[in-house]
Amino acid sequence: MQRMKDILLNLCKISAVSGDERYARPVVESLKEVADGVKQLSGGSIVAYKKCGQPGAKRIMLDAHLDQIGLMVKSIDERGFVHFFNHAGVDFKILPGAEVKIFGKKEILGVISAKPPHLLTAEEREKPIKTENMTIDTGLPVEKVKELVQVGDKIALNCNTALLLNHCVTGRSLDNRAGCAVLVSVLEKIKNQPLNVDVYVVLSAGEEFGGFGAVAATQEIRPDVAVVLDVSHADMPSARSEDCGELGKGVMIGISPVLDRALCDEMISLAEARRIPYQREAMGSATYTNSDGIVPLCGGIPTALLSIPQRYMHTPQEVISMEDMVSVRDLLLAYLMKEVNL
Amino acid sequence: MNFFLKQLTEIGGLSGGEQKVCRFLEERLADRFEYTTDRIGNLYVHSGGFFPNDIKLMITAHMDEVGLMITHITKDGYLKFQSVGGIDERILPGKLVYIGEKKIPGVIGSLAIHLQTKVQREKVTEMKDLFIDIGARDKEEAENHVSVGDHAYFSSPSEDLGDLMKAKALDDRVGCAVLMELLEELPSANFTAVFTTREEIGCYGAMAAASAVKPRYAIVLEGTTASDIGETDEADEVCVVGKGPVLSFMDNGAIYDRKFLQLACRVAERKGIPYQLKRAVAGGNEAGRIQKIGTGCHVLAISLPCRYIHGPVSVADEKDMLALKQLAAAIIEELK
Repeated sequence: MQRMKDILLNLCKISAVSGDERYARPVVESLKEVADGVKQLSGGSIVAYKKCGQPGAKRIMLDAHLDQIGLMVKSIDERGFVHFFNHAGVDFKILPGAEVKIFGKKEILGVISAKPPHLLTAEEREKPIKTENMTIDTGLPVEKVKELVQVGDKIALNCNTALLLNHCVTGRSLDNRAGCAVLVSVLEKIKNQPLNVDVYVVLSAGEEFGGFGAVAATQEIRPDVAVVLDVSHADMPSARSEDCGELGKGVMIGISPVLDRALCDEMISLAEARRIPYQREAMGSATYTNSDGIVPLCGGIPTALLSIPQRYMHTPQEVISMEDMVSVRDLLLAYLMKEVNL
Repeated sequence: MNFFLKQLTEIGGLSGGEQKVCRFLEERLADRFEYTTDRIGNLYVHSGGFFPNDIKLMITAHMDEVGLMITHITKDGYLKFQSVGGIDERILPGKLVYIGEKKIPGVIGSLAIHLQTKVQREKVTEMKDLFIDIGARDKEEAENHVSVGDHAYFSSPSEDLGDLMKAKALDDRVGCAVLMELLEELPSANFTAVFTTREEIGCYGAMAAASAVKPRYAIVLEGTTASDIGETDEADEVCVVGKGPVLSFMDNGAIYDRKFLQLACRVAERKGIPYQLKRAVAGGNEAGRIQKIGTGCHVLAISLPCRYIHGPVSVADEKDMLALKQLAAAIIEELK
């Protein structure tokens, strides 16, 4: 678990707002040590593979998105404050007082400012501040801001990573660096392990913006089976328990009309057989993950969805449990090894 | 940024829990100054060495900051809280805090945006519906790490922000830093410095200090709200970061001594020190309380313009801090 924690914390240091995954290059370098080959596709997704060497071996794609939610520069005002769009799913209510990093000509630290309470009318005070009424304070004079920042530049949330009780971790972009960390850990574990399948690990781009990265990677790899790793809501106060999994209770195995039921059942049987803690996550329609885009490609791809329960999704302080990440990894390893025993 | 100020702002010290700030200041005073503390935690230092019988000038800066107090632990192990001092509840969700003596990290949680109904999304999540998550499985486990009554403070690291600086608790560690430097740089000036407690919940420390010291003049060193942000109208700015220390003529607690204010402006102009007048009757500080103690006292507030005070991170200009110190020193000289 310690090793996986290190992988996760390292991945969290990277900023990769959807559409700007170029900041993820160090990941490519680190994967070279554990995979047979690594390449970055033109859409930004990173593919690392380990082939078993057998002709006609089954191709299994493991996907976790690397991109994270973020903001985008809309304009710069006369005082040098940066106005922005909410570009990819950030919870706007948590923005005032949050710290950000603008990816201009260089990385610029900023604080999100909003009108102070004494200037608000009573009516305004009862409503959340809208994104269009917030700005970013960089502490730089307007000329300097205009020199370094351009309309369209990406902005990432900045935050502190901290370890909580019970192997819980808090930080930003745990959605879905947690999934990425599990896949890196899987690659490490199977590095010297003989397999009967070819494994393609995809750290995909653009999930928070429609999932274009996974779609492109799938068409490149043409897998026989896909397993998507993402985060899903964990229990938290004032949430309806039927909407959430439970933190620390193990991998959430997705059941949805989009997903392959036989593959889901197989995952559940494996979890039962290996005593891996798991929970069922039933969804009546689409999954709102990369699975939805992958399933209809290449003549149809049987796909499973494994989720890591997460609290406070799309805030700078998301919370996940390392124990859940371990159960996702163990289930994936069991699935890949199962093919060996056949 | 100024290293002493960085260290000061990174210490947690809510109203009533200023001991660590006080100890840090005492360490710096040790061996060089005679100092004393009182029953409610104020720290007193006299610049001329020993305390004289008749104190003419008192300068205060408060050691406490706003934050949260744990009021309840739920059966599921979440912590409920109230604010200590005025905090805009809209800035709380999604922030990391440290709790209690053991500095237990916790996240201020709220329902994820995806799970909120349309009505919930358009409402501010009230403080009573927020909670802190430390990762505990249940109440019993949480109680092993945190107790009701523990303080929680924001976790923002202090560092440069462009040409400015950002930190939590600039209100009023900046006053503490300036007051310390005045003591060090003006060893023969005749004033009593008081690092006060519990300002954010009603200026208890300053009231106790004023009644004990009974000064004829008092200067309050503060951080005050600057709204020179985004597209705010110039009329609503209150004051502007980078344009020098702020002198108040009136706020919600005090009508300042007109002659004292004029003296401060005159001194600043003569010495070429930048300053600005606070362009709003808003907020309040220790001056309002000190003014009313005993037979009354001439009060003046000199404040550092700070954006986003009472939040997890505030922004100010180090040049303003330097000018604030110069102005205070020149006024001390003038009152001699």
